[in-house]
Amino acid sequence: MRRIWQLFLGIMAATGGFVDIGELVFTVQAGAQFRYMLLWVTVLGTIGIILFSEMCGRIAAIPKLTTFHIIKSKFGPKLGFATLLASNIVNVLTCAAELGGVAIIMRLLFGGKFSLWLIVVTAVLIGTIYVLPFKYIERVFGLSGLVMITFVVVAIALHPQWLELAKGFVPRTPGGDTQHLLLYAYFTVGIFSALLMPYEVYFYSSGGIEEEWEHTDLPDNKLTSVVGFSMGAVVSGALIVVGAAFYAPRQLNPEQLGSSALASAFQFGKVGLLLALLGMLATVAGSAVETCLAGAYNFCQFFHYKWGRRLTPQQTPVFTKTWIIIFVIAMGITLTGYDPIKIVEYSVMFAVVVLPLTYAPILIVASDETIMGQYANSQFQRILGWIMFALVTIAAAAAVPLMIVTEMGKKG
Amino acid sequence: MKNAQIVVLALVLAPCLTLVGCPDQPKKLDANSLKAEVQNAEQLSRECAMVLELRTSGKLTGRFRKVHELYLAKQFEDLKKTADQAHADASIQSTFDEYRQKLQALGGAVRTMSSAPHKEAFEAVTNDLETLEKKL
Repeated sequence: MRRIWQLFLGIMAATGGFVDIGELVFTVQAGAQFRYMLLWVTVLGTIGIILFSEMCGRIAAIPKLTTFHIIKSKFGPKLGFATLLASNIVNVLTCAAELGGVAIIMRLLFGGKFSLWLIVVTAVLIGTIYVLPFKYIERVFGLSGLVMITFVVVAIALHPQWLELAKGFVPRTPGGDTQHLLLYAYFTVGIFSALLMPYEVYFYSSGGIEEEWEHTDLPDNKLTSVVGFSMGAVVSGALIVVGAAFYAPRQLNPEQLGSSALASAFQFGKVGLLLALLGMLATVAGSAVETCLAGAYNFCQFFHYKWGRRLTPQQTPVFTKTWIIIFVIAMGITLTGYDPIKIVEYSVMFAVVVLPLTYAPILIVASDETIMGQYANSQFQRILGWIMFALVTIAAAAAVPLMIVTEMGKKG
Repeated sequence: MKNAQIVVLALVLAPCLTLVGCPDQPKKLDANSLKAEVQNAEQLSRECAMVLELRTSGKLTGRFRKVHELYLAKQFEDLKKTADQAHADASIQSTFDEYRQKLQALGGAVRTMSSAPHKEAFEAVTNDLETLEKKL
């Protein structure tokens, strides 16, 4: 009974922690600009993150390796270091955007100055991670992120065009000129990348080690990945539907975080507005924690320092200092005044560039029977994994050119 | 392997430096880019009208409304800055001048949004901008 309860909590935490500021920005705008036409991307991206997270969890449980152990062993120290640097630059930028997002939401809820909220939020998150064990860090933010289900309720209440919605799961291109097509491609890559952000697998695989997974935890790993992330993807899809059913007919393009909550206010008044903001607060704060810890995990795993919140801060001085420094740097970036929404647009698009370097080693190790034994990838998983890797590589190649020609999604 | 390292780092570092270090460049507007600016202004105007509608119907908290209006005002300032720094092709100069006039009207409505909310002002600006968009 206790194990079932723990599994249930794990699935719920995976659901609530699925959406981050990148998805909040890209999915609602995608719905506003292209209605339901990009729903298929949420399915594709979700399949990808389920596939790679499940592999990471298996690798954490069996040979007890984390992502950066694998990257270093497969790529060697020099390319491994380049990957570490690139990944952590993306992690820090993403953390900066998430912290900025939390500060904006706190301001929308309580008023006050942005910079003051940023400092307070950073201090509170540092204190929370310092005090709470890993299991509670994951559960507190993940479970409170379940308030994002508000957007699912709003999406249904807006009476979307169900036939058009169903058609959105079939990939097709919009009509219009070349610029419009390029904008569609930009949002395709953006949503895909936001769903497959590398910090998610760094955090997931390190979490498997933190929780000391064994082969007996593999069914839980599978259920958490498949069920938890699928349910989380429903929230992502709901954001697109809200964009399509509320913003598109009114010819609005939500560029502010607060704009994303207007649909909930329209449907359910102040209660809807507050629930939307609280859901966004929990999910963005959780992502700030994940990106920060992912950066510290990567650094310590690469350089073989002791790491993990299952140990005390005194036992892991380098790990503790690293995640605190990441939070401080991220706060500093946001304090420069640069718009967190613009930061996240950059970080999402550049994360996809790093994705092939993250996912290739995971796929190789998970398929290697000499390492994984009977728990290696099945033929189906191998084929699906390489197809997904090919898609990730195409997205990686297209990301920067699309950013330039569409001026970060402004030109279509 | 060494080339791969350089490519990875360049792809990630270069835009990060752009994010931090590149000053705003004056924009050269052609018909398509001016149309995009006009559309951005229309969307801002519509969102301001939406916020006023929600305010009137009591669906927003006071704090949310005040802070969100500040962000909308900042969004307007960004549009205005782009328009002030831009120069247009000769073929669309008159349309660009008209756009800047409409932007002034939008700015007036945004500035008085908190103290003297006037949804009709935004609707009028939106209509004018839509008419302008059709010329491009």
